[in-house]
Amino acid sequence: MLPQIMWLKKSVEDQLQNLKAKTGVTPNVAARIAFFRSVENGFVFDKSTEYKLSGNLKLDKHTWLGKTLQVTELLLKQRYPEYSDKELQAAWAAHIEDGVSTIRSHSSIVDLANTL
Amino acid sequence: MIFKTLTLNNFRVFNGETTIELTPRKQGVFERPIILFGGLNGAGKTSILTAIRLALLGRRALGAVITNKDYLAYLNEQTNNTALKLDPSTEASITLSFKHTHQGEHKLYEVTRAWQAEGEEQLILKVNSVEDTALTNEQVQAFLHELVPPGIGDLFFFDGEKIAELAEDDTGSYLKEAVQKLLGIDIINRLNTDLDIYLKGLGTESADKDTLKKIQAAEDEKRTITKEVEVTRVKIDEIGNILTDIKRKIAVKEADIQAHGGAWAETKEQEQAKINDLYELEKDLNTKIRHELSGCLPMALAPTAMQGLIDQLAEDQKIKQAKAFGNELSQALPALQDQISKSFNAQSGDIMATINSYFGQLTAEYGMASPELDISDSEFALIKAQLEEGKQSQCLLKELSTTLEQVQHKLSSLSVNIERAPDAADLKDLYENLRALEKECDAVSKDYINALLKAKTLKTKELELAKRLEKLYAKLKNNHSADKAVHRVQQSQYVLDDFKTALTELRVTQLEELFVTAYRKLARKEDLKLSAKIDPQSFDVNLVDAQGAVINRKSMSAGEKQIFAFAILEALGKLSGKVLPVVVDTPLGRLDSKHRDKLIKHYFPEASEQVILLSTDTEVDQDFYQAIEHKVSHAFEIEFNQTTNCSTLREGYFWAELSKEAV
Repeated sequence: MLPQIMWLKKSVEDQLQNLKAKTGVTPNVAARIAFFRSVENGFVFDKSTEYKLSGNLKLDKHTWLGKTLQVTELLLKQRYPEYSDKELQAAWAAHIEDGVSTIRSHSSIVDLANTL
Repeated sequence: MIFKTLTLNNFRVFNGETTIELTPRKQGVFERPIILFGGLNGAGKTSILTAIRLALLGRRALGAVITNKDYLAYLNEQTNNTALKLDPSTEASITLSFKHTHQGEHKLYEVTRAWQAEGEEQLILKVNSVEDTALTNEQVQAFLHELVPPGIGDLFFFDGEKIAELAEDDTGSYLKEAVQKLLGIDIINRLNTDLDIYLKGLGTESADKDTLKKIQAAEDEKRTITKEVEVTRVKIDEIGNILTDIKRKIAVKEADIQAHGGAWAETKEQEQAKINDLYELEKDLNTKIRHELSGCLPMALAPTAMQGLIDQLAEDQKIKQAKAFGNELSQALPALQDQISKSFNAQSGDIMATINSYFGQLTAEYGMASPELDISDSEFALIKAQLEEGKQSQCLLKELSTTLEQVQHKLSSLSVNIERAPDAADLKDLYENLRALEKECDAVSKDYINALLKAKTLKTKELELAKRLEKLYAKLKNNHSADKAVHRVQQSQYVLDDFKTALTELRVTQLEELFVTAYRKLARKEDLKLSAKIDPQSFDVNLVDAQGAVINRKSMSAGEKQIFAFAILEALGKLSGKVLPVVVDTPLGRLDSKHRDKLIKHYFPEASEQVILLSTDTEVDQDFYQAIEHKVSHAFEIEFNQTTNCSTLREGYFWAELSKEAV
């Protein structure tokens, strides 16, 4: 299961903040979108690679995931059944980093909504 | 005309009725024209002259302008006082009978004037002793005036002393009427008057004048109106030009405002309001989109992954069921084995083996496997529902984003409009100018319309006038034939005037000659070189001496004036051709012996067929009486009775014997 408090890599966090400034979509919501897009795109996290979570935005997992909480955990567990909680968090953060790359360039909410 | 008798009834000094025989008597073949009356002063000589004048001339005997009231008062004064004392309502009357040839017939006329105190005058005319009752007083008087025109009456029946006035008169009024009557000029005048009356009767002249006046007025009015129309038209043109100018200015101003984005400016506020609405909508849409994004929507973004998860979960579900079934079965199997062994002793082993192999096979499929994702059934259902929600949310998002896109597009276009719209302050002046111009345009338009209406009214008036003029001209044309008559009458009048002038001149020349002849006959020797000059206009008679210088009559003596007057009278009498008796009161007056002699010898015997002389004893004294005796028909002496204050007549003269001898 994912830990109660989660945070992201600093660069991803910055990107999310950036996106919020442009589209008004909050980082947690944008992170959900980025996660699902990444899952759908078939990204797979490898725990052997060094993945350092350096972000400042530390929120509890209910805030981060909202209604998608259970599905997110199930999806991560399905993909990474043998991962520890910490490893699952890194996998989550990595998925977000992967997913955000496709939405970070959107300049407006319409722009963003049109791609979803 | 010859007077036959004169009857005086209660007239002046004559009380009761006195009839005087006046017909000249003939002495064989010799005419004796003179009837001589002798009387002392106050005896009643003037009464006889007055009676004759009154009988013939009526009111005119007193003067040219006498009112009826004055005339009646005068008549009342003439009533004999003695008779009045006896009876205040005494009737007084004068009757004059005379022979006259009228319209070729010798007739005997008798005129009676009678009056009572406070009463109207009665005038009766008898012709051959038959009273003409059909005639009114005025008509009788008019007939008498025809016989003896008033102006002439003064020349034939006069006071010798007063006739000197004739000589003194330099206004010509004394002679004018008489001369005109005598010379027949009055007939021309009357003809002229009659023609005037004819013209009036025709009524055309006045009608024409009226029409002409109307035409003149209408023409004047029309001219004025035409002028006004012209003025109005000029004004209309002016106003029209101004109006065009203003309209052009307005167009320029509008173009100017257009150039400043005026059209946008007009809708700017509306646009702003729209934009505000759209902003609201955009905001709303953003919120909704964000809401959707924060829901289950992200799940829908990974359909294949989600399907994989659902499949996995379903598999886990089956495993769990199979395991649960296996557990149930393994717990139930021993009881089943007992039941079977009891029922089926012999075959219980086989049946159990069949059952075990069957279920063993059934449970063995999932028996080894364990569920990877352990969730409850309700959680699984929730996930499925969430996924479904996410899909719906995705659809909604599509709609929302499309709407938002449209809103933003609209916003951007509106923003462009607003960007184009100039600031209201910039346009204020332009709009104010435009509004001022429009106001001016309105005012000028009103003026223009008013002017047009005025022009229309004037034009209508002008047309009406033109119609009226046409009618008037038509009327004038109709009057043209009458006009011709008028023209001819006028021509006749001109001819008559010319004729009158010529005739007057001719007559005046003749009168001058006759006057000179008469004057020379009566004048003393030293006066013989004198001649006369009569003004044809004023009929003023002037004496001219041998040197051709006019003698001032005012410087003449009374006697000389009397002679002068007698000469005029004789000349006039001869020129007129009228045969009227001559009645002279105080015939010799202040004349000196030489003049008296000449008058007695040369004037009275020849003056007329009938000469009535009213003389005192000093005038026609014995010497003179003898000198004219052969011409005297008969004579009367008037005697005044001091006691009765009345006069009586006695045939004969102061010298009764002589008179008797003469008869």
